[in-house]
Amino acid sequence: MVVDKDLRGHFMETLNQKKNDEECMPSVLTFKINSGDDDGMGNVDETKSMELESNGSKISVEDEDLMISDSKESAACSAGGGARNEVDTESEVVEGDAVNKKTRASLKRARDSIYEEDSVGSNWKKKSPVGQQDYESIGIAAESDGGNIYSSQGDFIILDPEVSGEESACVVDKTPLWAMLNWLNGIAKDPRDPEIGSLPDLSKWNVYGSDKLWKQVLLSREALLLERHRTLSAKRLVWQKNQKMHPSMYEDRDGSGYKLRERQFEESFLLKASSKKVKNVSDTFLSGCHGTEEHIDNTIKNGDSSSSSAGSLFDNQGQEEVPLGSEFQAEVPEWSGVTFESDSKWLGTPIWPLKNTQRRSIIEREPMGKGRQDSCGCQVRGSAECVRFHIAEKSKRLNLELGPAFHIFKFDKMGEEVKHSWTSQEQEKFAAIVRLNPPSQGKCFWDQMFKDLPSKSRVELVSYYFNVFLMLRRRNQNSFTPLNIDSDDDEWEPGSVVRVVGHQEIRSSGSIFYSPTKPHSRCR
Amino acid sequence: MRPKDRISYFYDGDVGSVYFGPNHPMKPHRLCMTHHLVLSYELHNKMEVYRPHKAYPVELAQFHSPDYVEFLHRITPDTQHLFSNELAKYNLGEDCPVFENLFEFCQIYAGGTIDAARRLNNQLCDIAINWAGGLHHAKKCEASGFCYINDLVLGILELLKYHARVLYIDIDVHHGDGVEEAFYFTDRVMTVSFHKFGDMFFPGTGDVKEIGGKEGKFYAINVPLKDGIDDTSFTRLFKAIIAKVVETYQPGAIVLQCGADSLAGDRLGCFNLSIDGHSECVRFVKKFNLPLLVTGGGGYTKENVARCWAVETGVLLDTELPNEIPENEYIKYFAPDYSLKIPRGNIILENLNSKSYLSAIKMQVFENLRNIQHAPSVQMQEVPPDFYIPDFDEDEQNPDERMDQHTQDKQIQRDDEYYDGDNDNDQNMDDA
Repeated sequence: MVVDKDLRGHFMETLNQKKNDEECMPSVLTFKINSGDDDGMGNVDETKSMELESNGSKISVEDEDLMISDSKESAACSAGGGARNEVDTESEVVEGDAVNKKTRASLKRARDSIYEEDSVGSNWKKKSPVGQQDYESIGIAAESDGGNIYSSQGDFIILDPEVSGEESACVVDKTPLWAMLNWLNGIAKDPRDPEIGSLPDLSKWNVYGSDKLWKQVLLSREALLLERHRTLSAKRLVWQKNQKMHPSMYEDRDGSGYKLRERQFEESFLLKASSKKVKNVSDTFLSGCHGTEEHIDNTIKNGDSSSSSAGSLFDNQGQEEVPLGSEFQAEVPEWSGVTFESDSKWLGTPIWPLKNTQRRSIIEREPMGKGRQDSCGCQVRGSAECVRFHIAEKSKRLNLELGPAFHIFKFDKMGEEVKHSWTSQEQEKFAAIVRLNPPSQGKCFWDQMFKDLPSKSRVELVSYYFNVFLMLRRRNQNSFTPLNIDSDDDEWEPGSVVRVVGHQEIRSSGSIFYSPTKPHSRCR
Repeated sequence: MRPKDRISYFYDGDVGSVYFGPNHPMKPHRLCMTHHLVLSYELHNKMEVYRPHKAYPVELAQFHSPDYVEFLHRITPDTQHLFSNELAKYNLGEDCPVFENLFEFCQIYAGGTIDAARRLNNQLCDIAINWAGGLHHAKKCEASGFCYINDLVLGILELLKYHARVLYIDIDVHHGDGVEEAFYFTDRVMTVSFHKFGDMFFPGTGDVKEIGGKEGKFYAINVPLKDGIDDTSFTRLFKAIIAKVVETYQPGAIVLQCGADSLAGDRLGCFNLSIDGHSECVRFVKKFNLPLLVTGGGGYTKENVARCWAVETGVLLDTELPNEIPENEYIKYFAPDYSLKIPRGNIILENLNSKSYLSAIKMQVFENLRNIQHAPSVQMQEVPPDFYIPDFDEDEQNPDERMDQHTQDKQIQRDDEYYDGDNDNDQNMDDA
C-alpha cells in the first residue's frame, strides 16, 4: 500500500490528538518488525504509544497472515489507562526482501527505546511496565524511511511493498487512514451495525472508488496479500531446499501456535532467496492476485453472520506457504456434470486370469490365502535341503498354474535360479568387487562392476545382486546375527563386527534422508 | 449382502530391474518381492492382474510441465554432467538421482495409476491396486523425495473426469506435499495426509494450519504427528477423521496412498505402527464402498514393505492371511520367524504423541471441516428431526387393562407430538 508522506503527517497528527481520548480508537494495522533477532513479543507502551487499539478488535498481521481478530479485551486507550487485557494475537511485519538494513536498524533503535528483552530472551517487555498484563502484540516505533510510514509513538507501521509501481489500484487516496481503520474496527465489533453501512453487491464493487471505506479495506488487503504471497512463496521454495529451522521451534509450548509461525518466519527470512524463483513467483502472483479477490469476496459474503467473520477478511488460518500459480497447481476443470469420454484404449493388458485358450495344465489349485505348512514329510524338517525343496516345489506349481503369466511376471528371473546362468568364476568376481569397494570408503562398486564384467548386462547384474548376492548375505546374516539383520548393509560380511553407527551419508537437511531424531543404529 | 468387489491389480515385471543406485534406500525390487509374496499366498485367484501400459510423455504432461517431462525423457547418467543447470532446476541429482531407465520406470508406475483410474471410471472394477505408484512428492516442475512423476495427481485428474469430488488419503510417514500442492486451491479434490511433522523431517510442510486456499480453502487436511505413534492412537485418529471427512465431503472416489514407511522399523520412518494397524486403515477406507484406487509409496525396509502390501492386498480381497509365509524365492528375507509380523526391534520407540496433543489436532481438523458444506455446490438439506412413531393405536386399547411398565414407557409421547400448528411433528406420518 502506498501512503504518501502527507498522509503520514496527517495521521500522526490525528493520532496525537486522540492520544488521551477515552473513546474507542480505531483499530490499527499493527506490524511487528522482524529484524532478525526479534522475538516479536512485546507490550504496548501505554505511556508513549498512540493507543490506537480500540475496545473491540485489532487488526494484526500474524506471520504474514493478515487477520482481524477480536481481542478479547481492549488495549489501553490512553496513557495512565487502566489495566489492559491480553491481546492474544501477535502481529508481524510482512517484510519483503525490500526492507533494507537502514530501515531495519532504525526500527530496531526505535524498538529498543521502548522495549527490552526479558531475562529469557524470548519475550519483549516494555521498559516501563504499567502493571498490565503482557501483550503479545508488539508496537514498534520508528522513523520513516523513504515512503514507508512509521508511527514514532504509535502501534502501527505500514510498509511500502515493492510492487507499488504496478498496483495503482492499491494507492489509497488522501482519506485519512484512521477512518478506514475505524470502520474496520466497527465491522469487527458488530458486523450488523447499521451505522457501519453495508457492502453493495459483489458485481458492483469495481464501480466504487476508493473513497468508500470498505473499498479501501479491500484494496489494502489485496496489496498486503500480494506482498505476503510473494514473500511466502520465495520463502517456501528456498525453505524447502534449505531447511535450517531450529528444532526448538517444534517444541510444544502452551499456546505456542503463534510463536511457532513467528519463529519459522524469522528463520526462513534469514535464508537467501533464489532470485530467479522469486521472479517467477511474483510474475505468477500478479495473475494470481486477482484470484485472491474472489476468495476474499466469498469470505466477505459468507462471513457476515459470525463474529469471526470480520476476522475472515484477512483470515488465513493456515500458513500460506503453498505457492500459487500455473507452475505449481494442476489444471482442474470445472465440474459440469457431463463425464468426459475416458480413453478406454489404455486400460492395462490383462495377464491373469488366463483366457481359456491359454490354459494348458490342470492342476490342483491351492486355496487362496494359504500359508506355510510347518509340517512336511522331509527327513530333516527346516534344514537347508528341506527349504530348498519346498521353494522349488512351490515355484514349479506357480509355473504350472500361471502359464505364460509366469514369464510375463519375470518369475523365471527371480530367486537363486538366476545364478544358474552365471559361472562360478563370475560369481566370485562379483563378490570380490563388492568387497573391495566398500561405500564407507566412498567407493561405488557398481562402477567397477560394469568394467570388470562386460559380458553381463546391467539388468543381469542388478538381478544377480538382488536375487543371489543379497540372498546369500541374508542367509548368512540369518545364521550369524539373526537378531540384527540389515540386508541393505553393503559392507556386511560374515564375522564382521556389527556396526553401531550407520554408514549412511549424512545428506543436507533438506533431504528426505535427513532424520535427526532417528537413531542410526540398526533397529533389528 | 454386497457382492464381492472386483479387484484390478497392476504389475509390470520390469520394475524389478530398476535400481536407483548404491546406498539409495528406494529399491523398486521391493515391488518384486511384494508381487511374489502376493502370488505365493494365492491371492491372484480372486483378482485380475494387468500389466499397465507405459504412460506416454503427453499423458505425464497432463500435470507436469512439458519441459520437465522432456528432460526426464532425455537425461541419462552418462550425459547428466552436461546439464548441471537443468539438474538443479529440476532438483535432480541428490535425493532423486538420474539412473538407467529412469524414464521407463516413471512410465511404468504412472501408467499403472492412470490405467487403474480408467478402469475405475469405466466401472470395470471396484478397487484398483498399483503398488508401484504413490510417489507423492513429485511437483509439477521438479522431482522431490525420490519421486519424479506424480502418478497420484495424474490418476486423480483422470478420476475427475468422472467424479465431481475425489478424496485423497495419504498414510505415508512423509507429508503428501506434491498432491496437496497440485490441488491446494480447488475444492474438487480433498487431500488428507497423516505424517510425521517437525524436527526438520522431510519435506517440512504439513502443519495442521495448512488447510488450502481460495476455492480450496478447508479442502486440505493435515494431521502432523510426532515420533513413535502406535496402532491404537493412529487408527483411532484415522477413523475419526476419515469418517467425518467422507460424511462431510461425500467424494465420488477415493485414492489411498499406503506408504509403508509409517511402519515400525523402517529405515527412514519413525512411527511405531504394526502391519495390523496400517492395514486397519485400508480396511476402514474399503468399507465406504466407493471406487477405490490404492497405491504404494514410501517404504525402505524391503521385507516389511512386502509383508505390508501383501497383507493389504488380502484385506482388499477380504482375505486374512496366515502369518506363516509360504515358501517362495525370497523367503530368506523374512527370517528369523518367516512370519508376516514385523520382527521386534531392539530399540523401543517412545510414543511422543500425547493424548492431549492428538485430541487438539483432531479438534482443529473438525473445526476446519465445519466450514465446508456437505457436498460443495449442493445445498445442505434440513434434516427433519426424529419423530416418534407409536407402534400401537391408542384408540384400540382397553383402558381397563393394566399394561406392564415396558409397554407403558413406549407410549410416552413427545410434548409437541400432536401440537397443532406449524411445528407439528408428525407431518411426515402421512407419508409413513
